[in-house]
Amino acid sequence: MALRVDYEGSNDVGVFCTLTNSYCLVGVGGTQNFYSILEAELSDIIPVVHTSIASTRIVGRVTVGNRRGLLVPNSTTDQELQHLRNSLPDEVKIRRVDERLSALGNVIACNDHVAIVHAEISQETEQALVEVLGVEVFRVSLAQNALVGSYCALSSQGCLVAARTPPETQRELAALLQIPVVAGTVNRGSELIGAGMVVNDWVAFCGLDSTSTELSVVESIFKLGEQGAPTSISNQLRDTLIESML
Amino acid sequence: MKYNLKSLEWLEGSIEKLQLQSTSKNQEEEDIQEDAENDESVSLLLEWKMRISTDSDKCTTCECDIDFDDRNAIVEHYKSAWHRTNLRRKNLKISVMNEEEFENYDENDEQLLTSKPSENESEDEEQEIDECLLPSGRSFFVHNKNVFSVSKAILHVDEKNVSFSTFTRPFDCVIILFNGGHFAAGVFENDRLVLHKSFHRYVARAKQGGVQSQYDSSHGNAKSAGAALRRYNEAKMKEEIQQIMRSWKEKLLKTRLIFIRCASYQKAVFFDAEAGILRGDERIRSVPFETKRPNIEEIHATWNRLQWVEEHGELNEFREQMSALNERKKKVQQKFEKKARKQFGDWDEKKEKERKKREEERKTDHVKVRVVEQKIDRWPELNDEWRKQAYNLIRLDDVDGIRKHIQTINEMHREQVMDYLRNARFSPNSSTFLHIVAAKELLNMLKFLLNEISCDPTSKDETGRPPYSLSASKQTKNVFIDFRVENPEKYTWTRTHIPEPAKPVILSVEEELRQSEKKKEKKMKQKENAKIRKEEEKKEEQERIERERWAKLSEREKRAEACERRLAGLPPISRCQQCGLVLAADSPSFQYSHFKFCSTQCVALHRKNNP
Amino acid sequence: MTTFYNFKRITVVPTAPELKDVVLSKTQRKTPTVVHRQYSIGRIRAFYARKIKFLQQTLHDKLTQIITEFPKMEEIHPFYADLMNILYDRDHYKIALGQMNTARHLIDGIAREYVRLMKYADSLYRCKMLKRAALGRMVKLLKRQKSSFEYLEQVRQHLSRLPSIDPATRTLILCGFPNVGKSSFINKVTRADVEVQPYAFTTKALYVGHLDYRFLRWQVIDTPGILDQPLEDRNTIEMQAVTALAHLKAAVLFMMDVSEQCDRSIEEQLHLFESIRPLFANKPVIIGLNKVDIRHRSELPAEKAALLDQLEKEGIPIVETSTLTQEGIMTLRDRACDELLAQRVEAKLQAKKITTVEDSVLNRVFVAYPVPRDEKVRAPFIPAGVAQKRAAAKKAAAANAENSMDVDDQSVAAFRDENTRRLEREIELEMEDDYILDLKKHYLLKNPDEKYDVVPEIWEGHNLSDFVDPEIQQKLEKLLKEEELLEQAGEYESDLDSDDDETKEKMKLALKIREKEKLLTLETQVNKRLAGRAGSRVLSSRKRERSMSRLEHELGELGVDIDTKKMKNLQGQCAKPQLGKKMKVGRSRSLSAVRPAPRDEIAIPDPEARHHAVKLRNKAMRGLRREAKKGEADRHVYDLKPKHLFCGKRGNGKTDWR
Repeated sequence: MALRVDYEGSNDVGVFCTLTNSYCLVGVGGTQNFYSILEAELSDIIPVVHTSIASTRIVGRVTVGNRRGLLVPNSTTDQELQHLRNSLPDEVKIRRVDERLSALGNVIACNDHVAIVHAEISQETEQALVEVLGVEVFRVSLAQNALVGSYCALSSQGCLVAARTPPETQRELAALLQIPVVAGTVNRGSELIGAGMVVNDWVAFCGLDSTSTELSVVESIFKLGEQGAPTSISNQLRDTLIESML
Repeated sequence: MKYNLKSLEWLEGSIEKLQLQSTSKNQEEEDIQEDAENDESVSLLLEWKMRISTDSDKCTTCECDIDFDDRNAIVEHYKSAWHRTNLRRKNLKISVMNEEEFENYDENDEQLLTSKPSENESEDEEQEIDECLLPSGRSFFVHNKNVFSVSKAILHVDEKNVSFSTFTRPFDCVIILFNGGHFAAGVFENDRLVLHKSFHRYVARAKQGGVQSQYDSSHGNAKSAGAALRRYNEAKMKEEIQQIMRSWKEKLLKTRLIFIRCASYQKAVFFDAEAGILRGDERIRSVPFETKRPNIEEIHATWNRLQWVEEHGELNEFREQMSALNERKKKVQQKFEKKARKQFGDWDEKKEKERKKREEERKTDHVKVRVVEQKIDRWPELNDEWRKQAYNLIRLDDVDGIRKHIQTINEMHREQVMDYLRNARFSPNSSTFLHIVAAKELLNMLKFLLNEISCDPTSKDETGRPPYSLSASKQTKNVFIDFRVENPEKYTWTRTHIPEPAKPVILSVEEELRQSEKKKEKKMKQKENAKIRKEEEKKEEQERIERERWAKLSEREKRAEACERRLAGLPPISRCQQCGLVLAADSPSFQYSHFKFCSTQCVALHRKNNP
Repeated sequence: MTTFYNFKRITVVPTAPELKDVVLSKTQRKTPTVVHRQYSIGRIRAFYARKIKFLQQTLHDKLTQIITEFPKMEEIHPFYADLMNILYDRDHYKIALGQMNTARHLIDGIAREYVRLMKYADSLYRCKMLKRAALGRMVKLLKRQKSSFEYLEQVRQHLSRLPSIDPATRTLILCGFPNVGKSSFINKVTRADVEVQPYAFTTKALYVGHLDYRFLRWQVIDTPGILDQPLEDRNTIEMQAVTALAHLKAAVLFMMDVSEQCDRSIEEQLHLFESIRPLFANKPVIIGLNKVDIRHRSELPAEKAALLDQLEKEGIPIVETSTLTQEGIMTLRDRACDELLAQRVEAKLQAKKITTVEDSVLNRVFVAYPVPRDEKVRAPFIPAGVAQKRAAAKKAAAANAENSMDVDDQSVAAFRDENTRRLEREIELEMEDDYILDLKKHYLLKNPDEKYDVVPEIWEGHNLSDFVDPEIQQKLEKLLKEEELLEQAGEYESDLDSDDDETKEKMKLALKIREKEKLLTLETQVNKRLAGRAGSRVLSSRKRERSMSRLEHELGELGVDIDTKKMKNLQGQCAKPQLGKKMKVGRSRSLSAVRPAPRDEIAIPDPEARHHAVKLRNKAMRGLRREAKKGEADRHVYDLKPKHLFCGKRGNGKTDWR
């Protein structure tokens, strides 16, 4: 099910939060509204952890993880690392990686089985991905955008890429990732999918500005709601999409 | 040097395009895109389906076909170094390679990809000339190893570059100049002006700035008579132009080039004329340089100027210049990259090392090994004592002494002596002997130096002055001037600042007579003036005496005198009662009772005295 | 779109007498009121001309406002144009507006004429009469337009109440005979509340309702019933319906009454259908067979059923509905919407250019599916808790079941009961200012007691705690106290009390210096006292003040030998010996050079003439001085009666005492 939330007035939920199947990280903010919404929805099932990375709140964009592990950039302090280690269950491996492109959330998009990365990350980081997260790694560029983590959102059931991606790239990605891929927008037409929403295998959170159409697309591609299959996009939603776009 | 299109040189040798390394690929791609846009007959969905059909499985970065069904193939390809290299290249916006290229390429250093594309280019052997450094309005070509350029405007519609035919064919065109009420147009065929027409109408007021219609459109219709006249004229002019164009319609349709110079808001006149010039016509060009008032001469001049060919020197030199420009451009780019890097902290180890090395090299650039100049004595034979003595003698203006002194030196080394006397420099201003002598007014010595030693009067001291400028008195200057008069050919006298001698005025006989006459006249006039003045003075004296005498007379006596005058038949003179000044008839006179006065002060005095 | 909003924003059109009153009183209030006979004629003329012009301007503005605010029939959507034509009669409307225009023009003319005539008025009385005439004429014009004003006011009121129909969006139009159930249908499907009554022509005008379907907003227009008459015979009410049908591109829902309760048989209804069928060109049409709860379609006699079947064969779908039991309403709605949407989408796709559509739209609609060719199963990982939670939520939702038609509503309220954990937000709200975010309370540790242990901070290999001394403040205080004690004990007294030779010598020298200083001050005091007496400058002391010999002497006393002969540079700085001359009183010596004479003495050497010149000057300045001017060039004319203080009306009080 796809929910609309906002982080202290900002629609870019994916910047301040990392969501996986076994935990959720939230940036330390002024008030607890956002945290409580996530808490209400998720805390019975997975731990929802307050944290900061390098004393910043943008944990969504600088960290990346899946249910097996978490990678943090080298600017993370020891205290924060210790805090994360204490708050997350022992099954989740945490590793600090030394990478030139240190905003890991922007350069890597991953689910539990496969990860797509920026073309120029180092071998070390790729190695870390394989070891810590246990995924297959592919280097991709989405049309002209090298920052794959920002322009797509990935879960085990589907993938949503930026609206400008040509269909050939979509097919390629589908073949690589073995999941259905669709191009769309969130937050009322924003191309930055990865920054605008977070998703795991059973729930997704989008910004408050997202339209119903966008939410329905999200629900159908990630198989979160009543509509289930992504086929509904091409069938039922097609007309709505065209009608509202032209 | 400007060549003309018609000069015969072009007929020998070949005309080749300037070797440039730009890829023609971009051009093709653009063409394809244009075609695609124009071709609306391709149904939307069909095309869409083609793109996403299973026949088109491929990797979009490498542009190679992969069978998406085979998982292993996919994984293998995407993990390969080839794909990764292509990814990086695509991000850096360089062309991607296919498999063979990659295999050949891989043997070379892979470093190229980690550095920026500009450095890539600099390692090429061939000198690449950036096409955008060449000015765009001109087309360059090589002839007999020299680079020339020609305005692109003279190329026909379908031609992209200059070719041999540009020179062999006659430069046929239509030139139309229309500006501020003046219109001139001419048709050139077979290099001759076949048709032409020019006329003028009053459409712009002198202080207005533009034609009446322009004024009207911004300020609203002006209501004056002149404005109406100008408006009418404009309309008439438009009609006439259109008529002319229509009558030339055949020629206009035939011609390959049309040059129009007119204001943008007037261009519609030609399109609406229905005379073969259409709105989007590609033959229409604008004149690539400034033109003067539109008339037939100007049309000829424009036609000639369009055919000018500019020379740019030898091919290799030109290439060098261009590559130097390229270097400069790259340097500027690098500078800004550096700045950007500093701001945004982009960090790459290899590049850092290279950069550091470069900087270190540059640091020692300024440390140059200075070659210590050995002091060579120019006049080895003249020892210090001799020089001192010479200096003293010169200072004392002792011409004979210095002559003897010179004799003391051996014949063979006489040359050195002369050289020394001419060229020795002394502090503080590095003045030569001549400067010193001129400054000290040593006339004899000066003459001696100038004539016998032939010292150079153009030599300048540190302040930049020749000896003449330092001369202290008129006599010294005269010496210089005489010297000049005697030797008019010896030096360039302008450099010496020595003026020409004042020419003695040679008068002819008549002139002399005239002058003497003038002088005489002057004298006479002066005498006369003196005489007149004397007379006047005398008169005044008399007047004064009279006045005083009259003033002293008593009342009765005054009256008596006046009577006498009347009786004598003389006209009456009225005098001021107080001071006796003669009162003229028109000057204001002040009076009370029967007394008249010349001024208020007299009145006051009189009243005071006679209460 | 934009035009129909203006219908609500047209300003009120006043009646003619109202306008007259308003405008005349405004003229009286806003223009000067006082004029006297003895003013200059120009001023009187200006006064009255101003009144005329003011009235003209006001009326002009008012009429212009009316003319521009009313919509022009040519500029609005033809649907609205036609609607207005039906309701208000285009000719009448145009004539009314045209008369406004003419009136305005005439008023301008009157004002111009009378202002021109004013030039020839030579007394106050004449001016006044002219003004009276002008104002009277202008106002009379208004009176003649009385009926237009009233008419336009009516039109305005009606216009503002027209329903805001957007002619361009998705619309469904309900039509059919009166009393077939159109308004009931719209009530059921949208939130509109149209009056439903058993008599015909309950609905007399167009009503709009909105519904949501498939994430889009739709308009439903309810029309008054149409009778089967030729066009010319139709009345206003019916014409509205026909206009709507004619101009709006919408889906048409033709409602029919199966039970024939509306006093029309099915044949008649079908006849009507056929007659207005030309209006349905290019529109998706659906027939809604209403009131099936009374009589079912299957219960129809054969001929009627045959007619209906024939229609179906022609391709017009028939849906059975009952607004009472709500059977089939949703189907009808869905069907109509789908068809309309499909038609619109197709039209849009054909209309737009290829490239834009491709990039923006079809992109979004295309889903790329992978061809599974790998044994690996990539299953989603959904923990068990999720399913439980959802089940619990559904139960709760079912328990508080609300009858909502909005199935598209996505937000399912989170289900919470006493067992769920207290949210941070709630804690924050409770504690308000005392709230501190405790990050450590949810730590997952083997030993929960260790949750609040201090974590060592290490920086660059050093443990920060090594460098932090928590007792540093106390140590500092102790130290300070010690220092005080030491000071009091005299630790820090001067160490010049020692007895060695050096210090003794120093002390002696210091004493000498002090003595010398005192002597010098005494000397200077003496000198000052002496010098204070007039005329008794002691020249010799000046000589003694600064000289080489004195320097030598003094330094010699102190034990320093100097050779003044070698100090050539100091020689120049000594006081030069003074000459024996006495100084002149009143002028210092340095000014002994002859001062030049004052310039007026030089200019006019003769004292008499100078005196004369002074007299002349004073005479000239006399006048300027009296007027307190700086000189000839000071020509400022002071404004003795500034206009802004002397004109205008008084708030209270009289104008006498300005």
